[in-house]
Amino acid sequence: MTIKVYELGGRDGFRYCPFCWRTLMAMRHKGLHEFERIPVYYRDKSPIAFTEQGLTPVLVDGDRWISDSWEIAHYLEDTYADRPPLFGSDMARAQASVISAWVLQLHRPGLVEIVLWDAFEHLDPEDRDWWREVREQRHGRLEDYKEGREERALAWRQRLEPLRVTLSNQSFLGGESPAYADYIVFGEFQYARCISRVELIEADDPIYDWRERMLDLYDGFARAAPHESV
Amino acid sequence: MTIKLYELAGQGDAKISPHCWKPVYALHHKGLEFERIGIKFFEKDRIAFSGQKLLPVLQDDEKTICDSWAIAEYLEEAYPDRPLFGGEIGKGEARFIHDWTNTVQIFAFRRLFILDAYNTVDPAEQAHYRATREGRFSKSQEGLQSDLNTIDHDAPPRRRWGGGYGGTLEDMQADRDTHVHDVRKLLEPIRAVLAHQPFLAGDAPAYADYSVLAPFVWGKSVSNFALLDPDDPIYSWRDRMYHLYDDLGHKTGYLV
Repeated sequence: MTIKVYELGGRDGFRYCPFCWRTLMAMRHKGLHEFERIPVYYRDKSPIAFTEQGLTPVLVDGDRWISDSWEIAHYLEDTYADRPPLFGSDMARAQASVISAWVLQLHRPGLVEIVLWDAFEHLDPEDRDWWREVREQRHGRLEDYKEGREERALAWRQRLEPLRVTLSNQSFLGGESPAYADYIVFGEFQYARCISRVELIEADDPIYDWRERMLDLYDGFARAAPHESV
Repeated sequence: MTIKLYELAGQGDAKISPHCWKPVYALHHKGLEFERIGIKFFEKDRIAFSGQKLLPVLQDDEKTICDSWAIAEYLEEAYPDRPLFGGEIGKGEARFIHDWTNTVQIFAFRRLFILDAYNTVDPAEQAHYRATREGRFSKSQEGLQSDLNTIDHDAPPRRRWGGGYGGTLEDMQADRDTHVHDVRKLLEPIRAVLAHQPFLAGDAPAYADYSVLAPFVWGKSVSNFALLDPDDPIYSWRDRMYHLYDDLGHKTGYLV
C-alpha cells in the first residue's frame, strides 16, 4: 500500500511547511520514492481528523499513522532500519534534538517574520481570513511585513554563525553525507525558497553551497518543488 | 607513557580556558589516565614542540594534537571504547554543538566573567590580558549581537551586545546583572532539550554535554557569579555534570 503524507497545502500547488519538508526529505533518504502527498488546508482539517489533532505532517504507512515530524523521523528510522540511517545511533537521535531546538530559536522570532507577508500570499485564498486573524494577534498588521525583508534577512543570516563554521569544516551536519539533522535545517531554507524571493544567504557563504547540495539530493527532489527564489 | 594535557593556567594553577575543559572531560569519559599541565600566557615556549601557541595541546606517546575538536576526534579514533559521539552522524552533530559553544555560548559568557577572569590571570600577565582582550572584544561579534537584539528588541542600546562592549574590561562586566537575562535566553535550545532528556547526548553524557559544560566550569573557575536560576532545567543538568568523575566540576573554582 502506498505511503501517504498529509502536508500543509498552499495556493496553486505550493507546499512550503518546513516541518513537512523534514518528513519528505527523510522519506527520500530512506529510499521511499513512491508516496502520495495529500494537501491539508487550515480551514479544513477533516482529512487528518483520524489523528485527533490538527497539525501536519501526518504519515500513513499501511495501517499505522504517525503525526509530528520528529515522531515520523523515529518511525522511519526504526521501521526502515536496513536503509541509510537518519541518525545511526541513540546518541545521534538525542543530539539531533539539540539542532532541532536551535532551529526553532531561529524560526520565531526570525525566519517567520522575514517571510510573513510571503507566507500570507501563498496561502490558499480561502485560508487567508482565518490566518490573518490568528497571525495578526501575534505579529501585528501583516502589511507591515511587506517591506524590509532584506534587512531582516541580514540580521538573521548572522545568527547562522555556528552552522556556517560547521559547514566550512564538513559537507553536511551528518558529516560526509546528509542525515536528519540536515533535513531539520533545510526545512527552513526550503520554506523560504518556496514562498519568497528574499536572498537569505549570499553565494560565498558555505551555507549556500550546502543548500545547493541539499537541493540536488534525490534527483533534485526539493529543487523541483514550486518555488519563488531561484 | 602518561597522556599529557597542556591547558591555559592562571594564578594558583587555576585552569582558565573554556576550550581546555572540553578535552579534560573527554579524557575522563574515555577512562584514561592523564597529567594536566598548566601553561601561563608568558610560558608558551613550553608548548613550542607543538609548532603553534594555542591551548589545549594533547601529547600521547609520539603524537601531539592541538585544538579541542581535533583532540576529541583523536581520542575517539585512538580509544574507540566509550564513544564520545555515537557514530559518524553523531560526530557531525557533535561538531555543530561544539561550534555553537564556540561562536555563541563562550562569547556570551565571556562578558559575564571577563573582569573576574582578568583577576584570575597571573599578575605579571594582567596588562597583556587587558590589552589583548579589550582590543579583541571591541569588534562585536555580529551574529550574536543580532541574536540578542532579536530576543530583546526594546533593550536600550547600551544593553545590546555591541553597545558598550568596546570599553574596558570593567565596562564589559559592569552590567552583567541585566546582561545575564539575555544570556539565559540564548541558552533556550539547551533548556528545551534538557526538559525532555537527561543529557544532550541522551541517557548518558558524551561530548555534546562536555562541550556545553566547559564554559560553565570555566566560569566557576574564575567567578562566583550565579549564571543560572536554580529552577532552570539547565541548572540540574549542570549539577549532574559537576558530579561526574569524582565531583570534578563541583571541586573546581567557586561554589556556584
